[in-house]
Amino acid sequence: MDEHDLIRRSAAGDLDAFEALIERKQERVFWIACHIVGDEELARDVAQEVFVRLFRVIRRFRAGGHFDAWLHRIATNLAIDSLRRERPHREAAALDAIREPATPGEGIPTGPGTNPSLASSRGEHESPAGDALRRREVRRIFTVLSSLLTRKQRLAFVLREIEGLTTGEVAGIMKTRESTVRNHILQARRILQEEVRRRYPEYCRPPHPKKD
Amino acid sequence: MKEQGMKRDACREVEPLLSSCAAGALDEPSERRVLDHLSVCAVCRAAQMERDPSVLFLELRRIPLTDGLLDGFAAGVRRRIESEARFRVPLFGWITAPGSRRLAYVAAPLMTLLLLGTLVLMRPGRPWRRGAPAPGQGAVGWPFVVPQGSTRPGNPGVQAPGSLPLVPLAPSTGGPGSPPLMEEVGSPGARVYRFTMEGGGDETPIYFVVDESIDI
Repeated sequence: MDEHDLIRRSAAGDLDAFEALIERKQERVFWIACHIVGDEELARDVAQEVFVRLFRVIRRFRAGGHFDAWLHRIATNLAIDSLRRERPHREAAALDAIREPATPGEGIPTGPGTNPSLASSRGEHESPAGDALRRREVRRIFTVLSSLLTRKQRLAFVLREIEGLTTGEVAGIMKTRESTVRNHILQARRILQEEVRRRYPEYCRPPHPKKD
Repeated sequence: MKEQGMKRDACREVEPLLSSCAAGALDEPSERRVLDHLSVCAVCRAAQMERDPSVLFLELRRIPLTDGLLDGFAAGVRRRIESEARFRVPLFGWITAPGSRRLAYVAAPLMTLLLLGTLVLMRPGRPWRRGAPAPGQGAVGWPFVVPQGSTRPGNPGVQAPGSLPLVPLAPSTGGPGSPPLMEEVGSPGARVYRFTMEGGGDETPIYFVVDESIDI
């Protein structure tokens, strides 16, 4: 069924249509929430709240509008609200993570001369389990470092760099100008570059070490 | 092999743009093309990491869901909506209804006008009822009765100025609850009114002095 039909029928109170609409959108909404709040369980709760809220207000959606941008705006607002409520706990967790950068036996090897980002591409971690571990590690690093960003920097970076939205779409969601979004992203990148270099230098080594 | 060759073509296409991308000097479409490639190509991403370590997080773009994390998610949302609809009593639900909003646009100005009108009509010194004569300057209004023969403007039987005899009170015609008796007392500089209350045994007179020369 066409997405517009699903929206129209959902607006009329058809829960079957709304369930089908959720199936289509749930993953994107979940990941937006997850990259903002940094926790899968919390992100799942946020995503559920997003769709409950969506059902209440879907009648207000005007035909011809950008439904995804509207949905992403609801998702980001609720995720930020949730982040605000959880901030004290999360900051404490982030500090713990900074103190203990890697759990022994978990994650990817980070010994001298190893570039973990490249390791997978060379077949050292081609197994799905290895990939999952590496991704979990990268997500953990992002959760730790993104707590150093401002709310707007984090939002702009997540939506554009990780979710792959255009600057215009991000500006629409954040209700700001495109130039402001670009500025937030540049600042976020600068902070993340410095912090990755400082705390996780093993990720920044060249893939082909020069031989003397 | 063919796929690998195509991938290398994409890498070659993107390679000259990598340093500009790290410096943030690319236009939006080119930057988007580079980032899209870096999110799928671990080799180029690793090469770019030295210049711009923030590309590490592009790997999060295509992260697969944890198994079973969103299983039954849509059904769960549906159950929650159904249970909320069953148990939630929309006490003020009519406020958010579209029709109510239109009604509010009309009702709010009307209520404001009604409130303002009430305040204007009930302000001090205003006749309390419609049709009551507006009191003259310095006149005594309800509930007091100005006796016949008073020198106040507008009263019939005005006497010559300067001679204001003590006017005997007309007997009260009303029963219980009728206005208190009042008489006007002559005075050279001011008007003095004397009140006495009927019944109750207390006949202490109350004097009310009006001197228009005093500006309060």
